[in-house]
Amino acid sequence: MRRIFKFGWIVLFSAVISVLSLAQSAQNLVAGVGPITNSIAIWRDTSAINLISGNALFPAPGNQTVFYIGVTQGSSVDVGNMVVYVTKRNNTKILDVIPVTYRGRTSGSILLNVSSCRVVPPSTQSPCIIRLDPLKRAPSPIYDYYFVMYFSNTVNNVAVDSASSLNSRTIIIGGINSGDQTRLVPGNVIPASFLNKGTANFLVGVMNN
Amino acid sequence: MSNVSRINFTTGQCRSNRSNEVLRRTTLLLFFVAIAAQSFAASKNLIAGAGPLKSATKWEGRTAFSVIPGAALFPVTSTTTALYLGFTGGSRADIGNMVLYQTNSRDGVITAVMPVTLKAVSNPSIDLTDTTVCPDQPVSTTAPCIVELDPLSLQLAASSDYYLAIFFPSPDSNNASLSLGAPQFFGTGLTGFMSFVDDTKHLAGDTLNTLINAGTPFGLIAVMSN
Repeated sequence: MRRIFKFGWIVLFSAVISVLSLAQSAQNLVAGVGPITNSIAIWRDTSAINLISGNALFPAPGNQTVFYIGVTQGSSVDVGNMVVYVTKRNNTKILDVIPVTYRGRTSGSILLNVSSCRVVPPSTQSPCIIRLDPLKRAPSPIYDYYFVMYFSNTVNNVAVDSASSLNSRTIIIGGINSGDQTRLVPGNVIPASFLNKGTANFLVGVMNN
Repeated sequence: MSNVSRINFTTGQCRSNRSNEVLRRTTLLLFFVAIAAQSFAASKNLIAGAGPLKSATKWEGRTAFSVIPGAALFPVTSTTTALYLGFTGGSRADIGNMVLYQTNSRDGVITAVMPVTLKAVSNPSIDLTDTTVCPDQPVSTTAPCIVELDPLSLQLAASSDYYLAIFFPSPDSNNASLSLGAPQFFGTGLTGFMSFVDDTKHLAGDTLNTLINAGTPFGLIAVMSN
């Protein structure tokens, strides 16, 4: 009897370990951006909008969401604010606003130096991919998520160029709006102008780690 | 050591402790199983559905086809399949019939026909102004009415394609002003087409005309595990 239980515990322990290891390896939550181009430059006083549609989410495990943004030009990105607007799927009424941070802050300058980027200066061939702080919740298929980044009115942002899809079939849908579009509150409606470009800007991947 | 074992084995106290241990470990095991089952029970997409919607209008006398290509399915195993329809305009949808055709992947010959129902009815009339059905009024592309059809006891297979066909009878003024949701942007794995007759009466062995694909589903916005 004891041997049976011992064997059972070993099997259970192995299962738990394998589940944990699965959870720790990063998996895509949507089809992100493949080959990159730099379609949009000059981000001063401008917001980048990226929609992660609940209907298109992959069935990946995990309990967090990690955004990866790509920059193809510039020496510093001056972020004014970052938020995620949550709506019911296919609906534009905002239910919740979640702050998004990088190293604990929703605003500030991201220096595109060797501590942040694999290659300096960044380019379309070697974009700087920055991992934002994980959101402590997994996305749900019955909600849509609008990730909005506002770029401050600074000289640095004049030289910033966003990573954008080069004909790859990402399902992240994007837009560019002037001004700070991160100040909407629950009950507001996502403006029709938000998704005016079709493809993603800056956001190149959404993963569970 | 052998004496200790013998002594423990012959006392009632030892058996009691072992019983407690068994109970404790079984409880833990059940807890893990419950947690795992809960995570598996969460509703998951079976394919990339439609994001922001536009309207496909005027469905009187038409059949809306939405195709679920087996080649585009996510690697999820689910013994049930839930189909979600999105209505973006109109006051009532008068459905004549709904079926799901199964074919071999990339083949037009129907291998199976499955009835599709809403509350056990294959020809429902859906009141799009009823807030218990459509909480967000008025129904529009930015506040669509999303209706979950009765889940099918069906495990989608990558080796098959699935055609959801919904016929809207004519004459019918409700259907004349009805709008179905269709994807505004690329990215969904769904596709589809429409026809101008009742195409829900085909039988297994019939061949669907798969050469008229419009590249967009009509009405079907999501396919989930439940």
